[in-house]
Amino acid sequence: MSGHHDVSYLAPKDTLWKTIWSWVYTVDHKKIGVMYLSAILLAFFLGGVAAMAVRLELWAPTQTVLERANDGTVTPVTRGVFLDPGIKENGKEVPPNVWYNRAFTLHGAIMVFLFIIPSIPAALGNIFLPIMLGAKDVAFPRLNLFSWYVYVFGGLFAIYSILAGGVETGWTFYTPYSTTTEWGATTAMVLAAFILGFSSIFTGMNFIVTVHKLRAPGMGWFDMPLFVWAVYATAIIQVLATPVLGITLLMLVFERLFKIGIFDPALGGDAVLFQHFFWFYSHPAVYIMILPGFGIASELIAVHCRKRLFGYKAIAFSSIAIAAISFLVWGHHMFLSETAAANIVFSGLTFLVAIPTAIKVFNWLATFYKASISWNTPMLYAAFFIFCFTIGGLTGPPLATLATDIHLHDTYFVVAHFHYVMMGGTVLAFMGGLHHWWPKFTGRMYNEFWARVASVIVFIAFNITFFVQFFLGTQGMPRRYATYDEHFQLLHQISTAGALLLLVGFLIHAAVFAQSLVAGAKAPKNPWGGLSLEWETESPPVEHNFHREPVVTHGPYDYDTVVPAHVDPRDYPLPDPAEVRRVHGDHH
Amino acid sequence: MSSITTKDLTADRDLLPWEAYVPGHHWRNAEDEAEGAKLGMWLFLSTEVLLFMGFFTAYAAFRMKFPGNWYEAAHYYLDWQIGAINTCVLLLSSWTVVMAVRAAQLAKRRQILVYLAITNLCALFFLATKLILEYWPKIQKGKLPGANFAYTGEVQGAHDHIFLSVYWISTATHGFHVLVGVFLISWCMIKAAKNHYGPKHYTSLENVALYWHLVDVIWIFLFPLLYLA
Amino acid sequence: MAHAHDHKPKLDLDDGRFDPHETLASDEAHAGHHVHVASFGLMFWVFAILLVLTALTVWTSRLPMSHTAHLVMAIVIATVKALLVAAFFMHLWWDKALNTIVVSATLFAAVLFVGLTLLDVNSRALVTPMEKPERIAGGVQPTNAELTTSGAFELSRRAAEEKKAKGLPIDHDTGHGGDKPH
Repeated sequence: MSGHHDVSYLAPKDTLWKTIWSWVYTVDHKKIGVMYLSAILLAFFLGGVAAMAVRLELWAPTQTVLERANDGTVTPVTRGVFLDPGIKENGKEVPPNVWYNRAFTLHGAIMVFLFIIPSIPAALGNIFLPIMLGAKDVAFPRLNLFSWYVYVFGGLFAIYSILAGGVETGWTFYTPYSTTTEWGATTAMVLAAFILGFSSIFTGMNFIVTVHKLRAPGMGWFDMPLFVWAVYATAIIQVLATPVLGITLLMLVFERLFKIGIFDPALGGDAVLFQHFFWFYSHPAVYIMILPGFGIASELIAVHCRKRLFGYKAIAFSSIAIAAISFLVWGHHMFLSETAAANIVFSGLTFLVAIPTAIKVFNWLATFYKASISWNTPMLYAAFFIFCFTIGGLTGPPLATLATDIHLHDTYFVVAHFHYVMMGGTVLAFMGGLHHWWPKFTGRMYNEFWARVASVIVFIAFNITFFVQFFLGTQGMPRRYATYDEHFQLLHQISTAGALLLLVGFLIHAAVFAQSLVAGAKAPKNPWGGLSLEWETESPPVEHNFHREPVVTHGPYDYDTVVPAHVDPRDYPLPDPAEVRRVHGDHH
Repeated sequence: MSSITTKDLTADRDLLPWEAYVPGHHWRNAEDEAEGAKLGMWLFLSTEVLLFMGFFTAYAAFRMKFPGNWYEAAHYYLDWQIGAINTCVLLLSSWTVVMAVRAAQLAKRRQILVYLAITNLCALFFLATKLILEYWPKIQKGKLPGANFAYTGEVQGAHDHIFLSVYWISTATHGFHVLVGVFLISWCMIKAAKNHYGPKHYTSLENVALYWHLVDVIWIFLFPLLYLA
Repeated sequence: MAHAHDHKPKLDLDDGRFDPHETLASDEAHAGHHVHVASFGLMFWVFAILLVLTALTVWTSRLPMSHTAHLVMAIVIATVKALLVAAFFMHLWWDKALNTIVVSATLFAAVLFVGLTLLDVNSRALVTPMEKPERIAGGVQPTNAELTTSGAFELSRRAAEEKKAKGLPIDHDTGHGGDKPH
């Protein structure tokens, strides 16, 4: 078999128009994944801008003081307001607080719905899940393309909402505020999240069927890389939880348009019912965000420690366990609005999540033991991930405990906990995965030195930004406030300084990636000596992923018995050469 | 995979589209593809069930709070006879769609078309009944959801308007699914007319049938909960 | 016409399982792949039972029972009907177990959603309203006392009283069939 299927999926077509068309109308999961990746990186940038706006606003507390001018007139002056462009809307002055609310809402909504939920599954998962399974494509390639356009459509709604005045309800859209607020374009943003949910559902459906039906010959369930297990568990949550978000947001739109009153106490409805609806999706959604990060961490640690992962099955099953338990715990977001009966049940169930999560962390740590670790950028990120995620995880139980949560609820402690899990967990894993697979899907190496420098800066800056927020929270600083008591200022300023340093780190990363795309060295087939199937094909892969259908003869982590394909065997000393099986990979 | 022609040496005629069907390049064979598509459809139906669970949970929350009000409102504002007739009509359509799939498995093209036509007639009857006998009189009399509630007759309790909110949004969403089903079934009829369904390949018909059964199942729950309980 | 080639060899081009001797001899013969062809009789009986259950649920709704009993009866009968549809019309009975597992996982999530939400909602009063009276339809300003029960309802009641006071006719639908166009 030869012909056009044997060229790189990135190879341009005869004419520019044909090349553009080959992307716009592609059903190739790799191209769709690359398009997703570009879009979510743009969303990450936009969300980051909003985050910087939030942090800069918090540099100083808002305060109104009387100032005496030279001519003796006394005027009240409001200081410490960063976000106030002085625009009137509908003839009314927009209060500075509304601008602050918009900034953190945009940060939250964009980061959650446009960046972090699709980040790993729809981008890296799309590119690598079929290759890791030895499949030619996902099960439903056209549905995959459709989900990408649904994502774009939802993204356009979100951008419209921003341009039409933004949203100031917080990304959680709590009623009755979200149904009554007069500022901005809330309905458009709610519809955007509603539409983006469908994109997520279609991706999840596709992955589940792909994993069940399209594994290469010889690949049993326990021969799958753990990234696939994690994305599979994620897909289960995407399919089972996202529709509830859909109906919740649809009812919210009805509430705004027709005043149906189900969530509106003024009309005899129940506002906390909305919170149940919302968190039934949005708590499992937290696991949609973090589970793929777990999967990436498993890959990074095994490959860059060049060692069989400790407790493969335990890690695999813990992903499924987390997916199942994620549906049981949503009530812990409402400890202050629920009844005691529900609180006790939800609090108890919440602690269950710690078990499978801890299983993963311990297994990763055990893998480090006597491993030959190469401290390159992906491995650095894997280590940073374990550090930050563990802090994020361990600050969960104080929030799941009813008594302590009364104090910590809606404070910066929650903000810090959430960011340690989402950013310290998912984003750091995502960055690690991006570096790990960058040579494979772009065909280019990146500058290892500067990438390492940037990763260390990101790690340090991240901790500066968010660790102080634990102290802010325990001292009683509430979240989502544009101003604060003066004694919080020092901690807030440290946090803002950390955020600026974080920006520097990410800008260096962007420069490293740009340099790699323009002038990076050509990547070898297997730069890290990995054993899973993506390292046995070309970099970048050919259009149908492999020159011929791979047959799986070894596990993804059999580093103790197998020499990886396309590497110099002298770099891979093995304990007993008699047991070695060379993997020849996919030679052309 | 070797190239597949639409002609086969053993056949003394051109193959019909369903006989000549070739699975997507990334599938090992047509059986895998059909099973994968069915699994995908079941996953989609899962999302539909959970979507409607939003309505059922809203229903349950208020039904438990105001059992008397809701029972009275159900019997007062809604006509169980219309609901029951529509239930029977949907059950009939479900049965005909089963028979359409069976006809495809047995390569009986005309039967597929007849059964699908009956299914679509049932669906249109359902929609017409809803619009003409239920929605329109309700709009005229102000039996509207939430703040739009403007009915000036004898009300049954303080939460009639919330009951009507649940009634309107759930039946309207269900009705939208019925409408989508009409288009899907029409599409299947076109494909059936063009001989795309036969024993070897009837995936899209089977999956549209699954969708249609789900629409039926949702109504099986909506009818007693809204009209009777 | 389909009958014309019922006895032609079955053509399996894709998976190398071509069998020229296999024919579609009768209605109940196996079709293309290893799929189950529903028997006419069974499907008809399922349909008939579904109709009977529909009648049964209407009948029980008119029995003098408590509200809870009515709800339980309605849910039990509807569940039986839904299971019949899923098992036979939707072929789950003969399908791979995986599809049934998907359905079970869905029901698990669905039951959790309703169950744990009710655990909270059922053990407390509804959340008391915020004051936003100007948003109630009709432009009338209801009192807070009215809002705590139901703003819209109170407005309708008040409108009806006003009509009555002015001697205008008010709608008075009696019993069932209130929706029938007059």
